[in-house]
This record gives sequence, C-alpha cells and structure tokens, in this order.
Amino acid sequence: MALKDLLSNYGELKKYRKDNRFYITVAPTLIREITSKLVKEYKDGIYISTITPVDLIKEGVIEVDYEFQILSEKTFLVVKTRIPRDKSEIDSIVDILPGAKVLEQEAYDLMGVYFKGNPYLRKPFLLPEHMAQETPLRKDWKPSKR
Amino acid sequence: MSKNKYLVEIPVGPQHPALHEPISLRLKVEGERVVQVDVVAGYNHRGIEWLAERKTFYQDLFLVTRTCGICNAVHGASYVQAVEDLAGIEVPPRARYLRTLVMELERIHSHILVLAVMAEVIGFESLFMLMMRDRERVMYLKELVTGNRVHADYMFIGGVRRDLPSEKIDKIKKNIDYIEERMKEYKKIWSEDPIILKRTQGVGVASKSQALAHSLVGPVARGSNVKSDIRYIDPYDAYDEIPFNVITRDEGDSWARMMVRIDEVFESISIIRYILEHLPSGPIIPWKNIKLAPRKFPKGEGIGRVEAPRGELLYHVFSDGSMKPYRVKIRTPSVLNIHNGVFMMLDQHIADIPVIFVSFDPCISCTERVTVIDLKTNEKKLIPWRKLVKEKPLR
Repeated sequence: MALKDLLSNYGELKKYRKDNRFYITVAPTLIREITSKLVKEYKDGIYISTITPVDLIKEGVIEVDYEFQILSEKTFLVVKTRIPRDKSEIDSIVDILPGAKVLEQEAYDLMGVYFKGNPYLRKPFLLPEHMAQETPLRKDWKPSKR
Repeated sequence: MSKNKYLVEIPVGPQHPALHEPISLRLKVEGERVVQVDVVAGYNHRGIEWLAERKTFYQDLFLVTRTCGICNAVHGASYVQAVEDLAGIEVPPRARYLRTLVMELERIHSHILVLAVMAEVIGFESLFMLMMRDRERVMYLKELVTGNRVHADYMFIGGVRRDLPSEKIDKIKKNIDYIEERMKEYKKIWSEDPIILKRTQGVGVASKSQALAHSLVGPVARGSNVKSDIRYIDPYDAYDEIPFNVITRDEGDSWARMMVRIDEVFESISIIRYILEHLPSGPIIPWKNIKLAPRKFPKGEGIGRVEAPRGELLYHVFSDGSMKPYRVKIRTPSVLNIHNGVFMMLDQHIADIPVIFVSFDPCISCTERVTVIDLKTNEKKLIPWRKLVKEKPLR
C-alpha cells in the first residue's frame, strides 16, 4: 500500500523539498499506533533513523520528530508531534522498534522528554554526573557554576 | 546463571592506548560467556549541538566538521546539504562531483583504517603496519585535493572551497592504481588467511530482521544483507549520475562486515575513476563572488543525509530566520551501531568481544579491574588487578 493511503486517516502527508522525503503532523497519542502500522506494512524494510526533539519555547511546546527510513520504498518519513513543555511525556516505541532505545535515552538526557514505558531511560546518560538534573538543550537552560 | 556463586562484571574501557573513542562496556560474564552488556557513554560529550545554536551558519560549518576526525568531510557535506535544503540553494555540477571525490577518498582511508585495526586486534600486526602504510597514500591524496591531510574543511554552503587543477588529476590516478593493486593483495589475505577466518567467521552474528529492528546502519547492516546505503536510497551530490554497486553479504558475522568494507574500497576506486573522467567544467560556487553568499537563511527546516564510512549520517537543521540556526540535530552512525549492536555480544566468549566491537568500527580497551557480585547477599566489591592476580582463582 502506498504511504499516502496508509496514513490517510491521520492527516495530510506533506512533501519536503526533495521528492522522496515526507512529513506528517499527528497528535502525540497516535505515535505508537502509527509506528506499529508502519512496521507491520513494511516488515522487511523500515528502520528508525532518529528522534529529534526541538524546544519551541515561544509556543510552550516541545516538537518531537520521529524520522523513519523505508528502505523498500526509498522514502524518508518524518512523523511530527508536539507535547507540552511543562509535562513533556510521550509513549515509548522501544517495544515496537528496539532501535529507538538509544535515541529515546539521548532525548531524555539532553531535552528531558520522558518516554513512558522505556525501561532503559537513565540520567545522566551522556552528561557528566553533576548535570544529572539538567536538560541543556532546552532554550531556558543556563550553564551552572560548578 | 543460578548455579554459579559468582557473576563477574568486567568493565572494558574507557581508556586504552589503541582506543578510538572513550567508551566503557560493562560485561557481565558467567565463566567465559557474556550474559549481559551495558554501554556507558558520555566520556567525550562536548555539547556540539548546544554550541551550534550559538554560532552563525558559517561558523557552524567549521564546528560540525570537528565532530569526528576520521570522517570530517562527510560531516561538512551533511551539514551543508541540510542548509542548502533549508535555503533552496542549487549546487553547481562541478562542486557536486568534487564533493563526491573527497567523500570517496575519505571512505577509502576510513575503511583501510578499521581493517588495519581489526588485524591488530586479531594479533596480525604486520598486516596492520602494511595497511597503515598504504593508507598514507590516501591521506596524501586528500591533502592534494583539499589542502589538509586530516581536517579537510572542504565543503562550503553552495559548493566547495577549492577547485581541482587538471595537473593534479594524473597524480590521483597514479596513486589510486597503486592502492587498488595493494587492496587486491589484502582482499586475498582477508579471504584466505586461516587465523583471520577462525577469529572472525561466525562471531557476532546479526540476522537481517535483527539488523533492521535494531536500526543498524552502514557496513554493519549491509553485512547482514540489508540494502541500506544512502547513496542508493536517497542519492545526493553526484551519486545519481555515477554508476556503482551496493555491496551486501548474507553471513551477518564480523568477517562479512569486514569483507563489505574491502569490496566497498574497490567500488570507491571505480567511483573516483569515473569522477576524474567525467569531471564537469564550470564554477564551484553558485555566486560570482563568495561574498555574495546569503548571510541570513529563511525560516524552516532542512535535512541532510549522507552515507558516511560508518553508515547513515543525519543532520536536521531548524532555522527561525536569523543568522544562527535554531536547532542542529546530529545523528552519527556510531550512536546506533554501538548502543544497539551490543545484542551481538550476548552468549559470546570474552575473547571475541574486541573482534565484534571493532567490526562495528570503534575500538576497545583492556580490563583494569573487576567487580565481583555475590548473588546471595547482593554485595558488590571492587578488586584491583594487583590483588586479583595474587588471590586464589574465584572458582
């Protein structure tokens, strides 16, 4: 099934500048459903490329972009979702795609997005010990004196 | 596990003279077999993504190439691709071919490096020295084209920073012929030498479905018969005009990953020959003068993806219309391969861990001390190496 028909219930599939790159904006509660649908449809040719959290401080939200590569279709798909800044929680997809493990760990460590259901989350993951409670990629973070 | 009184944890890393990157593997072993692996990273965290938000688009170009020493040109290429995607800048054909040339030179020297390191880990040190000697020819070629031996800083938003005079083309061809000749020799060694075969074949196997589920990229995925190559699935620069093959193997073990790299060197050599034959003429930047390059970039986002020597390298750049990017996301291939690839180490011998780890393309250090966990009392104690060798064996 074409990607456009597969995701027709969730919203409009928009194109980036390059022909094989698409994005779609969905509600955060739908992430697990869309991921399982994609994995089921493209069983032998999909992997998660990255998870990009972006702090949009003016709008009070964090945009979380799930970026998938569909190998069989030669298509790159970005599933965009927005979660509130002060309650930055989203369902984990690590049980559907184990490759998301390290990407969720990194997003939790640097941006403070909590992925519900991921048992591997820990803080600090990349940061030094004294920054265990901090989220440096948020726009209101300031370097503290040691 | 329950039969044994002791479950021993061996911290491997983070420092070793032969280590590429400071990373620590905490192996839990039962006898000789590995039952659990935890990766501890962050020893080299420099905050490049944070820093990139505080510099201009042009300053970032020089910052992001410092992410990695070995594959710096691909970092530059991926970043400029993202910025060009953001601003809609068309790259002139000659610049696209020159970028491809430098990236393929980088692929050759990176692959030769990891093949040499693997030879050293196995204990085949003469092969390591020979391969490192021949790698120097590639470094010379990189210096010839870009002006720098290691940090190329060759890419520029819209094009490249240096042109290639025609008199250098013969020199490149001559050296490429030499490297091809030597690589044929090394391919013979890698496919026939009994010690290499015994150490690498059947060690650290990943099936195709495992490689996909764990998001493995680059030669690690291609060794498991996943046709994952950004040059093929999302062509950039001149790759849509250049004929080349995507190398895959079915075995999925450490040996297959190394053989994929050897065969890719030959593909890279043929790509370089094609570029030198078909190099288009014309400018190397889209503007008359480099000073006419845009200072500000429009609001929006751009994605840059290239096939680095280690796999897919992704840049996602967000702009709010000012001189500085709003957010720069960097996802290097090793993040996926190291953290997600550790499942291959389970149920393997301790002695095979370096082979499996190097086959991902990083490196590993020796053990300094061990942690002993008494499962009955759940008590942990650290024993220094000196005390350990004096004491009686654990079992």
